Amino acid sequence: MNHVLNNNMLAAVQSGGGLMIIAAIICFLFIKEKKLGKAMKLPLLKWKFLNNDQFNFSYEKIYFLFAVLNSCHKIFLLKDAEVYPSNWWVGMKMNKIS
Amino acid sequence: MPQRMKIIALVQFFTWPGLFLMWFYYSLSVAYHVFGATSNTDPKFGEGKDFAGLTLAYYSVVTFIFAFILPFIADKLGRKLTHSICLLIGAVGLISVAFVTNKYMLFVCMTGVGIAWTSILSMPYAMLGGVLPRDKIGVYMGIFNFFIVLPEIIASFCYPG
Repeated sequence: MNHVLNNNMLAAVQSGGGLMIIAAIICFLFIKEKKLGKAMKLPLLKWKFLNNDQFNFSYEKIYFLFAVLNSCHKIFLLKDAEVYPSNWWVGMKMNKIS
Repeated sequence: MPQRMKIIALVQFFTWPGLFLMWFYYSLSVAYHVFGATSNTDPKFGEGKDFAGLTLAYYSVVTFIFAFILPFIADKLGRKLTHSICLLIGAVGLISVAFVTNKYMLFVCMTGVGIAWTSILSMPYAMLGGVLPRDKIGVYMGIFNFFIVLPEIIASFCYPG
């Protein structure tokens, strides 16, 4: 019974990998990209977020930053909920109020 | 809906169930398959789940580091090729979990997932940003996010616990 359960879970994880392969193939075959843009060009310090003239550029940079921040908060989740940044922030605010 | 958005939505549709299944079953798989737990009361089960949690945190570290490298790769290779390669690396990472015999090899698997995760969080949106009409960008982004949630609901029906 346990063997079956174990195999099913592994199969689920593996089928997740299979689905991602399908996604990669669709992405590669069907998305048409005209030219290689320099939209994500660094340096970081010169980024102008939400500048309307460069809205598309800014948009992807924001998502790039999102990837960084998302990983940061997950690293904080490693220990336990008490070090979750938003909890820390709420705690700090509550201390100020009290 | 712009043509490119339809295709990227399809890519998302297949990508997110993969992650969803990982979040659901990876820790259990590690506990039973790698640590050899026989039931959820077995001490090895807790040990396995803890270690799985550690490797899941590790993939976020990989994501953090790779997020700084990704823009350079995207500039060189183009976004669609970058995203395709990252997804393939993630897929290999997930599939290889089944072949792990030593628990430390899980870090290698999760390195692949971390690379894919970086791309998943940024590349689809970067590819989409340029083709949406500016006055409707919010609406389209909202619709686009349906394609993250819908496949997860479907996956939760297809893979009952």
